[in-house]
Amino acid sequence: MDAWPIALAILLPVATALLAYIFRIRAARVLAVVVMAAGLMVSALALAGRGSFTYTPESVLGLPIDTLITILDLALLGYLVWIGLSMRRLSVVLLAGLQLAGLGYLEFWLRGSTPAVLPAEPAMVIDRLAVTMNLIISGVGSLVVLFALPYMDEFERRQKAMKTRQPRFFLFLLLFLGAMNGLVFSNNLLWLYFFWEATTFSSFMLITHTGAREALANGLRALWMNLLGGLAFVLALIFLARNAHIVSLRALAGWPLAGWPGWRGLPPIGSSPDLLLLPMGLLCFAAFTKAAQFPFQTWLTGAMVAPTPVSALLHSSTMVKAAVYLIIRLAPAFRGTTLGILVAVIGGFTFMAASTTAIGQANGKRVLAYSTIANLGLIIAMAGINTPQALSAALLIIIFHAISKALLFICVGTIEHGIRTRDIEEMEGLFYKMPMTTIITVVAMTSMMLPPFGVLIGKWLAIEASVRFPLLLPFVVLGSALTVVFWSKWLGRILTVSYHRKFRLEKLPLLISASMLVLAAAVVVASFGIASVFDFLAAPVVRGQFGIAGVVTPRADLATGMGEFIPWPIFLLIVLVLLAIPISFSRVKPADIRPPYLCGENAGEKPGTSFYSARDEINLTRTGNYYVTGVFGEASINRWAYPIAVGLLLLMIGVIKP
Amino acid sequence: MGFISTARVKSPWIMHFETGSCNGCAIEVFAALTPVYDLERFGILNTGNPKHADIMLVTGCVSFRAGRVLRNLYHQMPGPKAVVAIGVCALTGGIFHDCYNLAPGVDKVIPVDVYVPGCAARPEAIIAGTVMALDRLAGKAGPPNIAPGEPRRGLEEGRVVEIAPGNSDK
Amino acid sequence: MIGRTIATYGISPLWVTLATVVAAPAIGGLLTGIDRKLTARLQNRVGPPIWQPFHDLVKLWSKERITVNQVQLLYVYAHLFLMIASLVGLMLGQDLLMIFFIFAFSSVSLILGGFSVRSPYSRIGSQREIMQLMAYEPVLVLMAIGIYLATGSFFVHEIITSGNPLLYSLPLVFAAYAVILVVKLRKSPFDLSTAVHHVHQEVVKGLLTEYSGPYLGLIELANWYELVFLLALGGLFWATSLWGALLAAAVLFLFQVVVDTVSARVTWAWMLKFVWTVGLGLAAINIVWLYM
Repeated sequence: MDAWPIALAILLPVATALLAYIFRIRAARVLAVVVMAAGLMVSALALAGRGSFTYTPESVLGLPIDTLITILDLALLGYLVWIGLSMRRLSVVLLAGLQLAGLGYLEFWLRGSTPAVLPAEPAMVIDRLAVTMNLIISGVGSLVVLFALPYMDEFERRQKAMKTRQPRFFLFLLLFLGAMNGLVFSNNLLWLYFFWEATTFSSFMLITHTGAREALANGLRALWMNLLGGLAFVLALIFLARNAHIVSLRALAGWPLAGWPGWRGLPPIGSSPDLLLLPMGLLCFAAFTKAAQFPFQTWLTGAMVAPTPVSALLHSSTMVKAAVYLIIRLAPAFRGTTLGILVAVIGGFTFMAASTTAIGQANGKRVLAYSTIANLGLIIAMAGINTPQALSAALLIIIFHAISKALLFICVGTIEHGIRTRDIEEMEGLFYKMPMTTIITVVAMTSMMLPPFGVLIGKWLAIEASVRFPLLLPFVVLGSALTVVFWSKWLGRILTVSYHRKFRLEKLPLLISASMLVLAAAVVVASFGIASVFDFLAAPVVRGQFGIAGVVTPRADLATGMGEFIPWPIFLLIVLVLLAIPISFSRVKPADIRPPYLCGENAGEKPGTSFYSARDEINLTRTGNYYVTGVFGEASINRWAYPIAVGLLLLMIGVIKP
Repeated sequence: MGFISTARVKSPWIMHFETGSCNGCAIEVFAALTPVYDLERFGILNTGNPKHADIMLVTGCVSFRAGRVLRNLYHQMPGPKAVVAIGVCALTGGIFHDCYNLAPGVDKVIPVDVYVPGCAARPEAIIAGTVMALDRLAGKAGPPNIAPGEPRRGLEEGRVVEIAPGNSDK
Repeated sequence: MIGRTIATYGISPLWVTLATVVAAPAIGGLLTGIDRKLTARLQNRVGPPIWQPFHDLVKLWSKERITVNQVQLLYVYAHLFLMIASLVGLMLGQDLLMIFFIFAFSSVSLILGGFSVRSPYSRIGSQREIMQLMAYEPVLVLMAIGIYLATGSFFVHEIITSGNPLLYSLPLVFAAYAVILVVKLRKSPFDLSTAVHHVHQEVVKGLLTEYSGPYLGLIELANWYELVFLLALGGLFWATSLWGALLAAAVLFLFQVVVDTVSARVTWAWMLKFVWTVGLGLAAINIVWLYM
């Protein structure tokens, strides 16, 4: 049976989750998770090694899958309603209740009353886009889960937890992985919707993991925002089933709204194309909430109260990517329409606004959160304009952002446990305390903003792609310039170091250092071989839609016809500079060392940082970073960002109304 | 003169440190730096930072506290470096000579190459002294003048160790 | 693409690289000397000889190697190498955007070097340099986009051979570039992060405070490459004729000398507002022309 990798990708995490929950022994959990990680990677590689194919599973353990998913879906929504009731949160009850009603209408009323609701479309389509997402989820996701094992031990030691809650934690973390894999394989929109809601649900359970008041509040905020998106999703489903008889993603995306000649889907029965704009817009709205685009960004920044593996897995590399994945899937349908441009502008605006906000943040995880939001915005913007180059840019950013950001979260989590804070201002001198973590963090941060790394090459493609879209251009230009600002501030802070004769590498648990090193190596190797990565993962997707790849890779570089990016000379220079490290360390003798200039008042045990002030008191120098919260603080940004973002969403109503 | 010596002589960057007293000599140093004398003609730049400086111009009677600073600044200058003491206070302590809180003369704290007398020293004299100090940069000068830090009145409170030369790297 | 470059210039890219690496410091050093001489003459002084920068460089290289920590000099090497790389990229006719990104990497290296020590002066200088980066980076990218819209390519070698001088279609972008040139060269009124040359000082010496001797010399060398790079970029606006390019570069050069002499330093907030309104505004308006 050739479908074993699919079954493995979805069911293995679920089974492991249940095992980890039932058998509450640490050793068993570790073993199960390690085996699962290996299994997921094997399945992902097996899928990547094959061409595109479709697959419709009929039943699992004797149960028809359609029925099973319907039952699970209803149960899930019912449970969410119950959560809303028990937490006394009206918005959650209402939104989940409405979805429940909508889904019931869809499943029982519509399915019974209209014939041929289900055209002969496969339930799952495994094409190169799904394979790419699967590689990210299974590869990066597994590494994050491995990192979570030692991290959670330390986390509970810090929290002084009386009773371990790790089984529950890993239950939802692994369920989430399975749901994500299911999501990217699903072609049936009802299935997709189920997995979509499952990620919302696990995300809520993981954000509220500690049960602290702040965690509950932020979890509920995440829940209602995502449920709002879910409601839009259900409405889109009802609309599609009633008016267009479409329940498959491929058919929906294949329907050209602007009369594009390259269309290859099934024509829906008796529907006019413009009618599809409404569900399309609703689905985009659902994606905006899940991708935390302005004005929904607060759920993602609030979710940073969760343990770091949750942030790494859900809020950087996978869950939020589900949203951009959906938009990329829908993109062929709205290419060239006003809706497409509007989606691009909303994404671009978020890219700029989130990058701006990140400058004013002193909390490391919040900077990461805003940077994630910004990159999602850029991906959505690229999907909105959807030219061959834009799509290439979107795919490259998805791939490289997932690796780099997961690595960054792992680093910040390790740093937080090492120095007991995630405040950037407190990270001074990290280079001496944790040299290895610092170096890897530097690699990760550099890879987010500078050449020759993948994310920057994605941005380069994005700029070249948006040249013909004047509405989007200013956002992309400003956003990419501002990105450099907040990264270099942070980078500078952790790289500050006084002279020490010896630097000793810190001791980290094996799984933490292993996941860090593997991801760091992945960043460097993938960036070096970006041409191959592009050819293998992104080019087939672009070619499938446009017939051409838009970007060619003549000599291990990327060329667009208007420009070209050659990474290897920059790598060469970086290697040259790195070669100077051992020379420098052996050449600099203690006698060559002078303390920094402090007007000659250097004093005390640390002449580099302390000085004689008035009355010969010894004081420490402290130099903070510029945060300029008056301009870049959340409050100041939101004052103009919220009205614009809400205005853009309202504009969308005008565009999509039939 | 060799290639490197020429460059050193043609590009002496200075820093100025005032160690106390009336600031008269300090004002004259600033006067020497104005466009009237245009020291940049000779490649002289005022850096205000010991790490970039080749010549240190010191004015004022050296109070103990300023002596400590002076020693740190000297230590932070990369070699080859030269010191020009300007004004009688910097030379011997001047009218403050026997005060309880002074090291009488810059050379009690750091090695001095050129002494420019005067109260206050004229800008022309300061420039002439700076040019004489170029010999040190060119490697032509003999050993610098260091007066041993002899115990003096008012130094009994453990301050002697702080300003005595030879302990400067402590 | 390298192959096409060879066709454009008729010489091997290796020779172009070598010639750039060797000739640029000579030109850059001499221009710096002329800059100092001109400034002195504008201030009614005699000023140093025009080869003074070379004396300075040799002297700096002959000084004792003192440092604050072991890693400080890495950033200098990174700054210098990447600066050379961006200039070589320009000379080889590569993608303008890629060149700008490498150029930004070079600036970030210098910023990190300033951050790497615990000196308050150096770090305030770095913070301000970040603000300068924030000010000029979008204008540079907009400039590349403007050039693309006018010529249809991001490749410098295609821009050069595209026909009309860019000045016809991008006069406002040229003006915006003149503004950010002053920011990038850290000349008054935007010499916030560190004041280069002359007798200007700012927060001691800003982000260069802790570099001394040979390392400062390397930064000086990088500054010369940078000057040549930025002026060559200015020359791109009239790249159809060699004399035109030289004239455009000369105008920019004289402009920044005069501005440096006649203006006083502003705060970084003022700088940001000015560059983002005037610089970005001019560039954006010019780009809107091109869409119309």
